[in-house]
Amino acid sequence: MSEVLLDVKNLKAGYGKNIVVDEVSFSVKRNEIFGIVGESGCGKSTLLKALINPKEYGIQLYGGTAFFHDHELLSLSLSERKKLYGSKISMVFQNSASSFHPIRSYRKQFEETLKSHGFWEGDASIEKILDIFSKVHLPEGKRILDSCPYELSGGMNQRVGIAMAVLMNPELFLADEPTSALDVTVQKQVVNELMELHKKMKNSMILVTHNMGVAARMCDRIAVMFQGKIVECKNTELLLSSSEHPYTQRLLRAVPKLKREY
Amino acid sequence: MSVLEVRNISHTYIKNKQQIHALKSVSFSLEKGEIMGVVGESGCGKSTLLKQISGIETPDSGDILIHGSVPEGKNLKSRRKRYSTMQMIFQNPLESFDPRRKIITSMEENLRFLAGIISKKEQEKIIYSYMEKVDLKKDLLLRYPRELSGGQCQRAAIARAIMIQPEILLCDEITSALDVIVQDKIIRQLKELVRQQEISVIFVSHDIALVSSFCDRIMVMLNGECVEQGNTKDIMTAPQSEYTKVLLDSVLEL
Amino acid sequence: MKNKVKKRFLFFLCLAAGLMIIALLAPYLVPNDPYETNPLVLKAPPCAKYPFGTDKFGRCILSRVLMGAQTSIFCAVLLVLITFLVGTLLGVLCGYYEGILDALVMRLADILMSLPEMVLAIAVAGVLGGSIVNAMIALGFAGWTTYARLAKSQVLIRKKEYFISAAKMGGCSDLHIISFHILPNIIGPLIVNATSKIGTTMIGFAGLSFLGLGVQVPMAEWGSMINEARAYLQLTPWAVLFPGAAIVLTVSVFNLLGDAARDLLDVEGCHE
Repeated sequence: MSEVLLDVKNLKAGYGKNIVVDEVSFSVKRNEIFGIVGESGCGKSTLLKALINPKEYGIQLYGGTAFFHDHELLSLSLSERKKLYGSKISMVFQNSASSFHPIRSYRKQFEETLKSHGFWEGDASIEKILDIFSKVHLPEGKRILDSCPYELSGGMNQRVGIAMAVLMNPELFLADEPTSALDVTVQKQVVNELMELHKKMKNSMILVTHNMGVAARMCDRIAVMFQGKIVECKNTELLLSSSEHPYTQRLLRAVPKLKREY
Repeated sequence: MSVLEVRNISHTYIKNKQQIHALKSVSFSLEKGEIMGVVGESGCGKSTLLKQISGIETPDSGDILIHGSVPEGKNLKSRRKRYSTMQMIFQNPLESFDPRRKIITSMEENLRFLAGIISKKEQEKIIYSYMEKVDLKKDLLLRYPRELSGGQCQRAAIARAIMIQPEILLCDEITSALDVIVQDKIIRQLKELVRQQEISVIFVSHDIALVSSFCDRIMVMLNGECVEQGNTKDIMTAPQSEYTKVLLDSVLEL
Repeated sequence: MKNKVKKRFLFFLCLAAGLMIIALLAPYLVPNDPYETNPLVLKAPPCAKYPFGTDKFGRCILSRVLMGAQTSIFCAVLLVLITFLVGTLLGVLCGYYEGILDALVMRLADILMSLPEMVLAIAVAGVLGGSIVNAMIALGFAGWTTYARLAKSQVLIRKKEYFISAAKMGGCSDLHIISFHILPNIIGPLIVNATSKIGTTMIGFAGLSFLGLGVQVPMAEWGSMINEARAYLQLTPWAVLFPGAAIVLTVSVFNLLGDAARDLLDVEGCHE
């Protein structure tokens, strides 16, 4: 349970001369949901992108290491990266619809992805996809497989994106604002589905979000980022009940709360 | 008499050859100094409602009464009359200022055209006093919108809207593009200012928690219809409609 | 990146300005009288006195090319300016008000655009008869349409932005909104488009003059010079070569200026 899956040490990254992520260290344990929260521009997305593929996003690294098993994620070669990502590490972004081809059916897109990773088993794979669809509460999985992204709503597409990401049962699941583009009621549902999925699949997850409520609901541990640094990193209950850093306290106070007492 | 009364307004769009009923017979009235929240999810018609009230669009049917009378005509004079009692703050602060003009230009326009204040000195005096009220430095006035942060820009937009002393202020998701700490600060400032000047506010937002902390009264919308409206206290403690309950239940609290 | 683009733009701007200055000062620069015929030096090849040679009437080709620059460049620039102003005004009004005016103007533009530009210009010039003014009318007849379309599309995009709504709620009049808030925001791409049109307009002019529908003899103009010298191309190739080279050079400079302006605008757009 306490085995460390991902160990990031002194990661320093940025764009050009701008240092956006400054000496960040953290570790993610097996079967843990680790949250990174902060406001826009605090470097949380850059941090995640640096772990995914710094070159693709034009991020420059100035030092640090990120070990996933024996692999150093920051200096992977292209072929190693291809092998690792998708099967062992997968990700989902804010707007999943835009990471799919808008006018190709999901069936074809899933088939392609599985084939390129060498997991395609014909009808057995379809069965598996339908099973995961039902886990994220997508009704009529067959109909969805035959539809194209543009035909579905944002919430549905986001669920398909999540299904795609967990399809190959990755050990580490990276989620960048997975619910931010959704309406509040759908957000709640997707959060619940992600939790259920996590319980069943027992993988680790890094959740990057600006929404304190989502982080509080989902994460085991939360790191608060401010101006490129992690200012506080604690178990969720501890962070909510007794935060120490003044920025964390300000952040928690600013979250709007339902006014129930009169 | 109510400051604003909306009677059975309906509006239909044609999108991709399909009729979309954006508003279905929505009615409410707004008293002086009252803050009313309109909550709902995307596509529920809350933004359309504001467009109709502000006069950017005309409803297919129904009436909008300001001080008991329907604002007439579309010419410049009637437009100026309408907007000197009614101002609006938009969702995207950076886009609500002309990218090629300094912040102060747009404020001067409002004062010149709506409040009829022509002397530069008097304009400056008012602008400076309102910049102070929203806690912004004077030198920001001479910058362009892109040189300001979202929060600063939105505060400038608030100053621009209330400096002509409107009676009605329309707010369309004014903090959804901002971070929570900034949102918190802006909402506090706005509340203080509208209470001071006794401005009636229609506050449109998707965030029911935010609305509950800011508004006196809440209207919940779904698919272009008003499903429930009432005092914040009643809605928070004893919601009647199923949808309101779902909405309240969706708030992820700390 | 930005500096490089800026430098390129300035370089072509200087070149274009240089050409225009040469054209402006042509009467003082010419080594010989461009209209003086000399029976002693008919069809003379390039030499010290006549660097570009002479034509069949013994007129100095260098002098005529220089004088022709005045006609070609200024007519083209003037025409682009007029069509640009007319087209932009119509486009902005159509985009802002839409309605009947928009429908009428845009359908007219569609009709004019459906015909090949040069064919239409030849037809119009043919009806009106050959002269500089008629050639300009012929080319301007359909020339305004591209500006109108571009301006309209730009206005339609800008009109939906919040700051226009904000200006309306600030009590600004339509005229004020158009001239202070819309035009400054859309003028960049429109000017770029106009700049890149100068080259094509010049070719259009030369083309009409070549066909005898533009400038009338003996006035110096590149197109008509080529036309005159075309019959004895084998005897006096220089009489065709130099005006032709002048067209190629000038059109290239103005086209490259247009491209550089577009690149500059793109870069600035990214920066914003």
